[in-house]
Amino acid sequence: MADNSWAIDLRNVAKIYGRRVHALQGISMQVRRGEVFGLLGPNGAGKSTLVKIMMTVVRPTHAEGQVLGQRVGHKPTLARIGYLPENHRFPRYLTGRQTLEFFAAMTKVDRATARKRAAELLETVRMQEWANQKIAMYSKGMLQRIGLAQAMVNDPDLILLDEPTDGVDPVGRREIMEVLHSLRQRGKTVFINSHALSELETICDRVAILVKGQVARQGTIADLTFARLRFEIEVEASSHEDINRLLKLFPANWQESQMVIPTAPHLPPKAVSFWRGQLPDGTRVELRGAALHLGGLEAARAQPALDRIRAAGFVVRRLQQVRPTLEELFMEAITDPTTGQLATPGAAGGPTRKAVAL
Amino acid sequence: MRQTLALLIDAYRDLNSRKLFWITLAISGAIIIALAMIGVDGDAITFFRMRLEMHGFIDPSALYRELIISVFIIGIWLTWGAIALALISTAGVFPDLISSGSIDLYLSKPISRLRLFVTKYFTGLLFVALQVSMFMLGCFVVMGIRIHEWRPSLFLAIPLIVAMFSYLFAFSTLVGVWTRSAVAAILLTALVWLLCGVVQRVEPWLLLNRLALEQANARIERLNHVAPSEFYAQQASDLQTHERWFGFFHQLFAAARAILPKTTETTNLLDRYLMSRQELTPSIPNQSDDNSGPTFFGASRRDQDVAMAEVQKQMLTRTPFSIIGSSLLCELVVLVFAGWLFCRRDY
Repeated sequence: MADNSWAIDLRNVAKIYGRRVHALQGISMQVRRGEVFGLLGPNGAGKSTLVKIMMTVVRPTHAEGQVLGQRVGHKPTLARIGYLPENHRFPRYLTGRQTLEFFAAMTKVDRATARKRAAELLETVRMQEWANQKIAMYSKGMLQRIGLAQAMVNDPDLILLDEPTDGVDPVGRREIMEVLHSLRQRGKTVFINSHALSELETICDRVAILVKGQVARQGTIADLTFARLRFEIEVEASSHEDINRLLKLFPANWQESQMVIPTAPHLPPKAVSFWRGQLPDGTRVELRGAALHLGGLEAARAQPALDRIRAAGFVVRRLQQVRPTLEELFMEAITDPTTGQLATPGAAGGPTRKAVAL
Repeated sequence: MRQTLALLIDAYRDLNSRKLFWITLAISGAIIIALAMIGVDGDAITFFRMRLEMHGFIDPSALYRELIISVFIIGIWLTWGAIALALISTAGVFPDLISSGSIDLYLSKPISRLRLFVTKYFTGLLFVALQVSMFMLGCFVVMGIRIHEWRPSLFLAIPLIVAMFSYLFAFSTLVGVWTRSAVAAILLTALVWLLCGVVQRVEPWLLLNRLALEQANARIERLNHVAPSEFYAQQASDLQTHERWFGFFHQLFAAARAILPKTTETTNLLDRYLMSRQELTPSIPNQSDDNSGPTFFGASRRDQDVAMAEVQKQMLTRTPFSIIGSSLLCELVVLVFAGWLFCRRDY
C-alpha cells in the first residue's frame, strides 16, 4: 500500500551505462509532499540521472518505488509534474508566450487555461515585457525564468528543478527563491538539484547528498548539522612549533590529513594540512590552522580544553559554538575520511578511475 | 489530440522560421510566373510576344503539358530541386529534437516516445506537403488560364511527391536519430537517393540489353538453322555468354530495386495520368531485316528497338500499387528501426 505522505519514494534505483559506468548504485530517497528537497553532489554524482529517471528521460537499470503514488516511469503522472532540465533548449523560433502555451498543450492543459496561466506566469517570473519576443533573443537568465514558468505551467503537484538559478543574476536568484517559497506555501513539492548550496540552505526542508551514485547523507538540514555541532577555540598560534605544542597538549590519536579546498573561481584548489583525532573521553578533535575544534553539544566539555590551552600560555582569540554550513556538510560528505581527498568527479566505474587533475 | 495539434502548429512555426522554406517557395513562385508567360495560341506556343509555330508537327497543348509541366517542372524542379531543399531543411528535425536539453522537455511530458516519434516524423513531411500543394495549385490555375485545360490530375503530384519525399525522409530520420547529426543525415540520405536513382536506371538498362541479346541470339540461331556455319555458331555462343552475364546482373539489380524505395518510378507515375494512352504505348519497329548499324555485344540496333518496346511494356505493367507499396514497405522497415532506436535510447 502506497504511503500518500510521500511525493517521491524511491527505493533501490540503479543505473548502469554500458555495463561499466555505475551512475546510480541503489538509491533510496523519500521526499514528503509539500516540502522543498535539495539534492546535492559533485559533478557526475548521478543527480541529473536520478531526476531524468523520474521524468522518464533515462531508463533505470532497476527502480522500485513511486512518484506521486504511481510507479516510476508512469507517463500519465507526468501531467502532474513540472520539470526544468539543466541546460534546457527551447525552440528558438517561439516567443516566450508561445513556449509556455506549447508546453502547456504538451501536458494536456486546455487552450483557455494555458493562455491564462501563461500570462500569469510571465508576470510571476517578470517576463511579461519580453513575452512576445523570440526565445533566440533571450539571455541565459531570461531563459531560466521562462524555464521555471514552463515547469509551472501545468500547475503541477511536484516540481523538479535542475540547477534553476544557473546563469541568473543575484536579483533573479532572489526572485526565483521567492517563487519557490510561494510554491511551498501553496503546498507544492519542490525537488531542487543544485550546486548553489547557500541558496538551498535557505529554502530546503531536507537535503540528500549524492556521491558516486550513492546517498552519502540524507535528512533535514537541522538534523544533519545538529549532529556536527562543535566548539571552535581559536588561539594565537602561527608557527609549526606552536602547532606541535597544541597537538601535544591534547592526548588524542592525532592523524595528519590533507584537505583540498577551493580557492577562487578559475584558480586551482589548494591542499591544506589538518590534524584529526579523538580524545580518551570520546570527544572528536580537529586542529585546522590555529583553530581547535571540539565536537559536542555541551559547553562544559569545552572548559577543560580551554583551561589547558590557557595554562600552556596560549592566548585565546575566540570561542564559539559552530553549526556547520551546508557547504561544510557537503565538503565533508565528498571527502574521503581516510585520505582527506575530495571525491573525483564522475560516476563509479567510469573513466575517472584515472587520476583527475583538479 | 491536443498534443498532436500542438506539435503540428509547432512544426508549422518551425518551417516559417527556416529561410530555406521561403527560398523554396520563392523559387516555386518564380517558376509559376515563368510558366504563366508561356501560352498556346492556335498551332503555336507563345512566350511573351514570340510565337513558335508547330505547323501541325506536334500538338502545342500536349507539348506544354508533357514537356513543360511533366518533364521540366515536375520531373526536374519538384522531384529534384524542391526535394533536395526539403531534405536539407528537414534533416535537423530529429537531431534538434534529441539534442540535450531539448529532448528532456518533450520526454518529461505525458506523451509516449513512440507517439512523439511518429508525430514528429509526419510533421516533417509538412515542408514538402505545403510546398507541393501551393506549387501545384499555381500550376493548375496557370495551365487552366493559359491553355484552357483544367486538369485535376495535376494534384496527383501532391501525394506522389510527398510519398517520394517520405521514403528519403525515413532514411534521414534514421541517420538523424542514430548519429544525432543533421549533416550526417543529409549526406547519407543523399547517398541512398543516389543509390536508388542508379538502381532504377541501371536495372531497365540491364533488362534492355538482356532482352536485346535474347533477340539477337534468336535471330542468329534462325540464320544458323537456315544456313549452318561455324561463324553463326560462334556468334550464338558469344551472345549466350553475354546474355547470361546481363541476366545475372539484371537479377542482382532487380533484387536491389525490389528492396529499395522507387523514388524516380514513383514520380514517373504522374506521366501515366498526364500523358495520353497513345503516347504511353511503346512503338514497335517494323519487322524488317535491317540489322545494319552499330551493335552492342552482338545485338543490333533493331534487336535493341524490339527490346526497348518490351522494356517499356514491362515498365507499364508495374502497377502504382506495387511501386508505391513496396517503397512504403521499405520506408516502414527503416522507420521501425529508427523508432526503436528513438524509444530505447537514454538521453
